[in-house]
Amino acid sequence: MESFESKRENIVCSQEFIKDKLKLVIDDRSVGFFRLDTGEAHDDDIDRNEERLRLESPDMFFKYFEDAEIVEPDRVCRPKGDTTFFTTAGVQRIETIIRENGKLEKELFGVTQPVIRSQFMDKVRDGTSTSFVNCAVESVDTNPDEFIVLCNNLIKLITESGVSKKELRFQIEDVPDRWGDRKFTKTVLTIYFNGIELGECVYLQDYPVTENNKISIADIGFGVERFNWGIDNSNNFFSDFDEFYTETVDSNKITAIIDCLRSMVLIAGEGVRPSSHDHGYRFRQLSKRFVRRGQGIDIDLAKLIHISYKYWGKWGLKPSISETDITQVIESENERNRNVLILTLLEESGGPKIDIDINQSTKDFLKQVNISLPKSVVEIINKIINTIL
Amino acid sequence: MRKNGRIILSGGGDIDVSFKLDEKFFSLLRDNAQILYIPVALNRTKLGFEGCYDWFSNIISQHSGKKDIDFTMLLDGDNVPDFDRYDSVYIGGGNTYKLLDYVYKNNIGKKITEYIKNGGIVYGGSAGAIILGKNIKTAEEENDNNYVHSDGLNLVENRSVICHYTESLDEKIFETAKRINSIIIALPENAGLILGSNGKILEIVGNVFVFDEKSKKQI
Repeated sequence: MESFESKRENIVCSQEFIKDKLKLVIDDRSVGFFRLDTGEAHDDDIDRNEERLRLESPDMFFKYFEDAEIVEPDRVCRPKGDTTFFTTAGVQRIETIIRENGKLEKELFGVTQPVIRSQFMDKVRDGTSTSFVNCAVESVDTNPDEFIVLCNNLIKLITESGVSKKELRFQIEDVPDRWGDRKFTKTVLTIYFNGIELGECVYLQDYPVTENNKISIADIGFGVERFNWGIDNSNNFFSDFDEFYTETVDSNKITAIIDCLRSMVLIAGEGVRPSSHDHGYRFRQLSKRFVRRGQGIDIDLAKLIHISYKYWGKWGLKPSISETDITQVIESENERNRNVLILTLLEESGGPKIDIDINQSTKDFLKQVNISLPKSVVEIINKIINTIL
Repeated sequence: MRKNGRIILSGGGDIDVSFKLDEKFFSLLRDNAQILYIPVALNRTKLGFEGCYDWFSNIISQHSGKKDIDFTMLLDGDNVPDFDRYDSVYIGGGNTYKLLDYVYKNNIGKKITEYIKNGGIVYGGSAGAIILGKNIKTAEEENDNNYVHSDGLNLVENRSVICHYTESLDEKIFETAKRINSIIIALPENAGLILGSNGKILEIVGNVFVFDEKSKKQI
């Protein structure tokens, strides 16, 4: 394990600096990419190509960053006034520190942060999800040498997971960026294996804490689910949920269904109730997608919730309500949205717009349908039910 | 299911500022409406496009009332879906030239025109409104990347649009109207227009002005 050496001032963390320190050379076979200069046939990991070691616990991550203080993850739901509704990355702890202390001081910390990225809500497939565990190490008031140490530690983690150094590819770019009202430039080193992004090492040269107080931050991170799938994509993307993947249904479809539930468990675990506002609205959107995506697929909801609950717990989530309560709130929201789906499909199939309370169990909803609507409409609804249940 | 196509032009601004126009927009939507939200005029931030997602969620929360409205966000690089699957297309603000470039590169212009003709509702906020006009040189200062396209979708009866209008922009607008040979509709942040599918004005919210190269009048 490399450790930090004396701080060198006035070094710019340029692309050239990173390439030089990490010994990156142009990859002749893929434009715009670099590879590690591993020399000829003597690199120490030449045979490291078969066994893949998945990251299964926070400890397996933190052991590569022993100098970092291990901190508790932030809550998934962020308070009003923060830049996003949900915590989207481990680096967002910086925002928490500024909010609580009004300043940033030199520190190095690591966190395994469960996150929500709603922007992927309708793009979920193997490799992309709305919720995941972001393993992150943040070095505040840092310097380029320290950044390189962290980059090397991440590369070591990857290669000791069974990926040959020779197969890693890198991209480096300088990107103008902003976070809320704060503008800055960052240098980003992205690490790929088999064309899949495994992780990112980001150096923020002059992050403006205030107008007159700028500080450098190194942000090293990756999503565990993507990482484990990326180093061996013969696995299912959500491998803790293997039993839900079948040969008859496209794995991307199963991933998209599981993803809704995992994210709902994460949100419900913080005591959020579905609604048309703020965090609750996101909960509702996820439930709607779960119901739509799960049409005609037999899913053991309780089991899916149970595995999700255990999974998040393993990575540091401390839910404020019980698994039973989480199950109840998800089941009830799913039923509501199943009722909504029935009404929507009825309207879309040319049926009438009907006014029935959707905030009841689907069983009671259907009872009401049978009692109060003309036979012709009930027949259409029965056909719809046969396709979605 | 759809009735009459609508074009809604918003002068931009925060959620509270455009409240009145947004309220009218949401009143046009059915109970279970699906909106396609296109924020491609904005740049990605450190936290991706999560802020955009939150912002649009907030708008929906403010106005949906008892309606069960949902949305999908379309970003640069995503496959462009069939617009007819959505009750409305909401084109957000940001860099007007970047947005128009995206529209050209993805052949979306014709799709939007057809969508409105077929009864779709298109909401353009700020940059989103400007690209629906004849010429986007009303926001020429935003061309920070040598973008080549400036002809908008021309859905506002041959008129161009400027947003975030204040009186201090009058001289600039007169000059632009002359240079691009177009009447310009000027929308302050708390104002907007609701147009029919033919581009004719159906409703005015707030104080909206029309400029030619010599005169300015409130409509």
